[in-house]
Amino acid sequence: MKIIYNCFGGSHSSVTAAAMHLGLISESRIPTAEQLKQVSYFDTQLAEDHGEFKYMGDDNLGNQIYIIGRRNLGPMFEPMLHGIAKIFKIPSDDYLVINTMPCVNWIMVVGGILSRKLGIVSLGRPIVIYGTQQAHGNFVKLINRIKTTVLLPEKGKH
Amino acid sequence: MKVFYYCHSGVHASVITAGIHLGLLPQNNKISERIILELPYFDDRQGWPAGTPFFIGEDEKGNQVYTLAVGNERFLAPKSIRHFLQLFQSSQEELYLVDALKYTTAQLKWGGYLSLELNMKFLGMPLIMAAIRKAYPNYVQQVERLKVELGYLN
Repeated sequence: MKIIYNCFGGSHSSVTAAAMHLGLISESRIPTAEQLKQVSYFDTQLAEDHGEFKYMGDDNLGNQIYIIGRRNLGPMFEPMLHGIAKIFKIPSDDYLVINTMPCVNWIMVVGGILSRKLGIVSLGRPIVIYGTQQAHGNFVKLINRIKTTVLLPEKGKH
Repeated sequence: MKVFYYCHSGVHASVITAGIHLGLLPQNNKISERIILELPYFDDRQGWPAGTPFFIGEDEKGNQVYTLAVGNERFLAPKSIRHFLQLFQSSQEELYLVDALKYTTAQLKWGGYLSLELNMKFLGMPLIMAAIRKAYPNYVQQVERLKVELGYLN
């Protein structure tokens, strides 16, 4: 199955969630700034990258993890993919779309705008990293929910 | 082949262009409000969330015609649809995305917003109808050009 974590810019919340899913970021400890900076795509995507699915890795159940910045498509993104998948006969078990915006706090928003939209990386990056550290609990909850309610029953089926 | 007309709401400009494509609307400018309101999904998502593709009909060559809402992301949405199909190695030769926002004015966008999101049809509808009337010849031309490109007309 392909798991698609999506957020506004595909740089912070979707990347953090995907990294935690893959075990690149610990669930039990708040990641350091260095650890976050080492995650690929973290605070790096530009407007040109938006709308492209980026591969982050395979998890231990063999699912492929992707991230995407879907900007203002927001609530339209998921129905659009479901509809397109149905029309092109892609089975709905083959993918999972997860919006990571509910994990985002205002510090991440401010830092993200400064770093990505305005291009003031020196100021925005430390802010967005601090915000991501503060939001760590939200990501833990999201990933736990996905691993326990969505992926485990899935594994039991086979 | 599957032809997708996309606009802000997926139920206004895209339904009009899809209607022209399918011959549900006349090629000349003699459009009445009644005939527009009879189009499937016009100003009505029938309970589906925005972004859901709507099947409008099958054209004379057996191709399926759909409409799609993309909000303000007229460039990003087609890009992510193509990427999504690429991920699943689904053939994109089947896919044809048409920008129905090309000749759409802000008047239609706000009319649609009033009618659908704020549920004020008495305010939105006159704006929508006026905007459609104004842009109608352009829509007809756009569909005609597409049909030439796809080899329907010579």
